[in-house]
Amino acid sequence: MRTRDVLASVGVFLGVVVLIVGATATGAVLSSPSTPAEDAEMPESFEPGSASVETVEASGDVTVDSDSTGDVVVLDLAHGSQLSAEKIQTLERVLVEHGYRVRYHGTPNSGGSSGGLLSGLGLGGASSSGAVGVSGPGQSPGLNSSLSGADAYVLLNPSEPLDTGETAGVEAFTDAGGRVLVMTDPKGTSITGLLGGGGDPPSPGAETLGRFGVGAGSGYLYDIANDGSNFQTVAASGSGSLGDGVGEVRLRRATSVVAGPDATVALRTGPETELSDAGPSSSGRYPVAARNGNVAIVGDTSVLSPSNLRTADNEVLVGNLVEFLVDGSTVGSEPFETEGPTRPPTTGPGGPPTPPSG
Amino acid sequence: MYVVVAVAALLVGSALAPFVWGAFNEPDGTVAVVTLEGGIAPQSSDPVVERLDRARDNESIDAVVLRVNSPGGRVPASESLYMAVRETAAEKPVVASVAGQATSGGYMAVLGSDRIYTTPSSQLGSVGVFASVPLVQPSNVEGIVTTAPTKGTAGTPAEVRESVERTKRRFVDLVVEERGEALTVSEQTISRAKVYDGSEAVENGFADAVGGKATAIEAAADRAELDSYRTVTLGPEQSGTQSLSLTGEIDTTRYYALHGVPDGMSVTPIEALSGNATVEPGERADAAIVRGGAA
Repeated sequence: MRTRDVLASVGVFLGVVVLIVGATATGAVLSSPSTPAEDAEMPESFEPGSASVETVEASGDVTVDSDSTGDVVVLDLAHGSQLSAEKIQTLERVLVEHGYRVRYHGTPNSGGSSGGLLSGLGLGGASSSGAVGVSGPGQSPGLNSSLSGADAYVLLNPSEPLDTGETAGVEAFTDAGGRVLVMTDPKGTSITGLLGGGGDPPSPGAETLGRFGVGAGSGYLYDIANDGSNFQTVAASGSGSLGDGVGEVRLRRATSVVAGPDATVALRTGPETELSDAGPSSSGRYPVAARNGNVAIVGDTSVLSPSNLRTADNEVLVGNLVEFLVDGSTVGSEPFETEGPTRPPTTGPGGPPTPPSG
Repeated sequence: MYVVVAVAALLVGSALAPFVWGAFNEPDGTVAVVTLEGGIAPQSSDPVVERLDRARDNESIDAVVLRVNSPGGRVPASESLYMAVRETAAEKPVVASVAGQATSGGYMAVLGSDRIYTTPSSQLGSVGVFASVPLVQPSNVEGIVTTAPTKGTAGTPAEVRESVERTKRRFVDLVVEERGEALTVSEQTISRAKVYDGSEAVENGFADAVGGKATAIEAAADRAELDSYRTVTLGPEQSGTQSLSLTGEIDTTRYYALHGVPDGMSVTPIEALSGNATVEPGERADAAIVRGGAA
């Protein structure tokens, strides 16, 4: 075979091999999913910063503008008080820092608070500057005894009713000039039922708030349209002495209160507030605090939470509540020496609140 | 001689016939069915995400039907599912078929599809979230030293509340963005986390049309412009309900886009979280729930 023929054969062989390999490679390249799919553009709602939450400034301190000094305020930890220790501590701290004295009635039962700051610090018992007594179940001298010599009485989110004697005692206490403040959260049962006045069937002899023309419902308020950080956070503006200087408070979980004909509303929510148990079309401006003479009710305890105390004008409201407590009269033992008035039970303004028209 | 040639022609023709037959009768393409069933947690959603990824990358698959019956679950897992659906829909048609429920995180998942079919009585919606928060704060537990008050937690109650709210708003915004002009309800109405049956959902724009699996497959094929197609199911058919286990080695704040409450979860006001923990080390606390929208 001539050299020329050999070279031609090799050339043809190489050419065919290159052709086959090249075609195979090209086919492999074209058929492989080597180009990764581009990432789909993410929706705007997933972009960082797209879902911002309104933050309300937290500033200021609780101030109490009152000439009273050394007043004794009874904090009721009995009657199924369901309040966290930190909220009790807030109230204690404000009272003590402003020169008032705290007296405890009862201790919380299971599910309630775990005790106050001062008792936790061993300051229970007689003290000229702070707590002046702690009594509990089994050792309780009775509510009337706790109220003797006191200036004010605070029911902290109660879940159990006052009995007949206690109810009469509280009425005698207010008749003598003592101040009563009830702070309550939304409940499954109406507080007016627990303390008398309507709503749920009242416990025998339990009728306190109804006599004073105030009450509270059981559902919670919410605001879908203007929720600040959570739909259950509602804004309310103040009026009257309890609402003096309160441009706007932010309540984390509030219930509507009821103000009878003689009571005045101290706090009212914005117009788009709704009530959880009021059904559809319940939007309106709900009262969340009211006062009738020496008795006041606030349908919220979140203002006492340290994380919420300085939000918006919450600290102003707390200051006003303390002023209300200490601006009454000191009540001696005389009103409690005889059985209290035995007025027939009256039907208070209890029951589920209806959507307000305002 | 002619007989030999004819026999040879028959043999060659018989050999070629199957290829010719196949060439004229091969379906135009393939519609893949991916199933999402039960609660959404990483262990249940990751396989679905993987199947969607496979469907997206496989050139022989021309369209995808996402068959959904889910009440939702963990928010991050739900978001991962949504993203996988959306990324797949960017490559090829994805049609959702709701059979049972597509609520909360389950609804979030179908939002990434091109079209949503539902049976008349299926449930859709519940656009909202909540969080479960451990009551134990390491900084309050004797025997544990932390570097910050909220180390090991999701933050203060206020911070958790804000986080829940941000998550809810993202969800609501996503519905508005994805459903667009189809929606006949306001953003505020969506925030109420209502559940709608299939017929209502079609009316208010949460879904596109009433239809079952076959309708969804046909719609997916149409969108892929397939005159003929085969249907394949990717992954095993899931059955039963995936449970959302709350037990685990690490107890931390979890965000749920879920319609319902997982078993074993009790409710405690979040304000209680900032108090002193009374749970002993090693003891698991009940979970607390923070609601953002009535999920």
